[in-house]
This record gives sequence, structure tokens and C-alpha cells, in this order.
Amino acid sequence: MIGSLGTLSINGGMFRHSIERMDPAHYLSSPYFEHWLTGVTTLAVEAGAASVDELERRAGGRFPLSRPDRGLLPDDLTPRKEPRYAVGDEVRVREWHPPGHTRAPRYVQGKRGTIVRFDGAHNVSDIEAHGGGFVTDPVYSVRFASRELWGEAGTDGDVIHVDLFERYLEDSQ
Amino acid sequence: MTADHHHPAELAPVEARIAAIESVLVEKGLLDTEAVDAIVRNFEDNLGPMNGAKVVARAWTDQAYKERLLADGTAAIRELGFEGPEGDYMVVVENTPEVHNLVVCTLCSCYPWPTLGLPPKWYKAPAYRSRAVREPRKLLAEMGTVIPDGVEIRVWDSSAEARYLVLPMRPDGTDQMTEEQLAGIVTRDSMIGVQRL
Amino acid sequence: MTSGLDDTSLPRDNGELVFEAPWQARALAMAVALVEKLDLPWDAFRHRLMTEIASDPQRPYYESWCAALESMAIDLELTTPGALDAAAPTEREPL
Repeated sequence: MIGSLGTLSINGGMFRHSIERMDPAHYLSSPYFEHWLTGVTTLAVEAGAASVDELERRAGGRFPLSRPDRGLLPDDLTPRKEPRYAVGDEVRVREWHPPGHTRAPRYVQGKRGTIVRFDGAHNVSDIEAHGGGFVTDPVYSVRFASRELWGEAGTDGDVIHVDLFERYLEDSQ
Repeated sequence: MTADHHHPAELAPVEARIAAIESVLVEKGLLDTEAVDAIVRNFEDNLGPMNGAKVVARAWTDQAYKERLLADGTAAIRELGFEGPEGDYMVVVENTPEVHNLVVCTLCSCYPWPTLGLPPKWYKAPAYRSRAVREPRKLLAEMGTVIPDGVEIRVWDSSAEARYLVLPMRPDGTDQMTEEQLAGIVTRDSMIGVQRL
Repeated sequence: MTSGLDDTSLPRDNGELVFEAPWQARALAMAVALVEKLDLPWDAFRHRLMTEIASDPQRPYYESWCAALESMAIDLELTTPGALDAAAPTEREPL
């Protein structure tokens, strides 16, 4: 059985320790400290594992944190295996822009398409990546008309298929 | 750290970072240098479009195989001994006089490693990834492949588990060729869909 | 003594280099080896790669790959940024 990606455990003691091991002048110029550091230390501060004062003291200066990031996980974490849709069904891709990356490419969000293939149930990796664990969802190949996606700039007759998790889809009237 | 001298032995930052990851993880026993070497060699020696070409040549010469290939790409490709990471769920899409298929991964660069090896640089570039879904006809023409107006273009964006392989049309004038000779004329680009043979 | 590898010593695939540089081969193989070692699906790395690309679409592909590998190693608590910094070489090893 495939293990799930470990969630980022914001354990106060562990995180405090890792901050203490840092040499401030060194790490501020390090190429490693990009988005990661900001995001993780924000979580630490929110979890009460470190205070902004402490971080700034150790950094020898300002320690910018990211803005509050609420709602990383969707409300529905129910694992699903049985497909709701059948080949030929018309669906619409939900307009959904959660923080963090999803597998619903932007260019199909809100667009209508037709189910052409069912690929079984797979792990929804964007849920797992945000600490939601191992959640399965049916996956479909959905066909979109070029005109549906690009309007006047599209080409009649051409189609684009995108493989999408069921939770990205809703019924289309 | 000395800044501005460009010394030939100096590493680009990303190169140094990769070396650091390997060094740290090997030291902790989480990576085994020999295992990493073996994977590199596997990519260099065993994985590449010569594999996909064999699949195509078999499909061209064996109708029953072709039907199996289109029904269950993973199993049929495995019959020829090609399988492994990024080949666990293969879908083979057939070019016909009415339909031309094109494969892309808009989100990163997913590509069927066992049959095609590693993707070419242009496949991973933002231009291809965005234009393949937006204006495939124009993109293909710029790459030297003109698809006639009456032919439907089907683009496949590998955004989940499926990896796609295009089954090109068999060119005219190849009736006398053996399966091995046929495999020799199938190009990587025709199996991605940016070229017609 | 020439520094770096010349083209003839890198592997070719139908006349084209399989890897543009040895360090890219290492980066690729390490990601594969690590998910195998940790018994994770390849998707666990792939999702991080997609996230990195989305965060900086014009960044060279292998730099996004490197960032994904680092974030995975750090998030899974396999190492720390400090340890990676300390281990980073400043010179290419002579051939």
C-alpha cells in the first residue's frame, strides 16, 4: 500500500530547535530560503511555536511572514471510488481558485465539456500536499471544444482533452 | 564567498544545490549513490523513443495487437517489455485521415518515459505547454507540420495519471518493409504528435 | 586541463543528448530514487514540481525541479536548509 506524503508537522519543539540552529547572517543570503521559509515560519508563529520578536531577534532584522492563509483544504475530504459520471455526460469544471496548486488547469475552469473516458480512482495530490492525507477521487478525461475554451480565437472542430478529478466537476445543465 | 570572478570550476547555484541534496541524503542513508547511478544509466541506455517505435511498428503489422493497444495501452506496451515509472497508465491515441492527435502536459512536463525516454527541451518550455492547447494548428505549422482544415486536431493534456502515446499513420510506400525497418522510420516527434511521417 | 564535460562524453539518443548536463541527470535520478526509497507515489514529487513551476513559470525547468526536490526533502524532515547550505560545494570536482 502506498504510504501518504508525510504532513508538515508543526511541532513546536522541533521547529524551535531548527530555528536555533540557523546562523542568521548566513541563511538570509542562502538560496534555499525562498517561499518555503516564509510559509513555514508563518505556520510556526500561528501554532505558537515561535514569536515574531524571537524570529526578528535571531534574524537580526525584519522577518517578513506571509499573510494569513485560511482554507487550504476543501471542505469535502470524502474519499470516493465509484464514478458519478459516465462516458458521454456533460459536465462543467468548477470555478475554483483555492490557495495552493490544484490539478485543474486554469484554462478549463468554468468551462463545459463531455466525459470521454473514466480512469479509475486516484489519490488527489493537491489535498495530500496540503496535509489532508490520502483521499481518492475518480478521474476522467474530459473533452472541451476549442471554441468553448478560447471563443473567437478557437478553431471549429478542434478539441482539447484534460484529465480531471471528479471533485473539480459539477453537473452541466 | 568571492562574488564576481567567473572561475571555470565554479558551479552554477542550482548545480551546487543539487550536489548538496545528494550529499546530505546519501550521508543519511536515504539515497544510495549506486541506485542513483543505475537510474541515470537506465535513462541513457534503455529508455527512449526506440521503444515506442517498436510498439508502433508492431501495431502497423499486427491488427490484433493494434486493437489490444488501443483498448489497453499499458498491457499491450508491457507485452513488448516496456513498463515502469511514468508508464503505469498508458493511453494510445490513433491518427487517422480525419483525426490528428497532439500530446502536452500544461502543468509540468509529464511524458511516457518507458516508451519515449525523457522529453525534449521544447516540450518542457512554457511556449509549447501553453500554445499546444490554445493554438495547436498554428504551433504545428511553425514546427513544420501542416494539418489540413478538414482534419480534427485532438489535444491531450496529461494533467493526471494517463500518459499518452500517438500512433502515427503508416506512411505510403512502406508495404515491403519488415517490422524492424518500420521501427526505424518512426520518430519521437511523430509519437508526441508534432510531426507526421 | 579542460573544465566541464565536452559534448562527446555525454550520452546521446538519436543524435540528441539525453541529459544536457550531468547534474540534471542527478536531479532526475534522485527524485526517482527518493520516492522509491520512501515508498511514495511519483505523484508526490510531481505535484511539488507543478507547484514550483506555477509559482515561477519563466524559471528554467531544472531550477523548478531542484526547488521541488529541496522542498520535499525539507518538508519530509529529511534534512534542513542549514545542512543543505553546509553541504553545497563551491567547485566542480575535477574529472
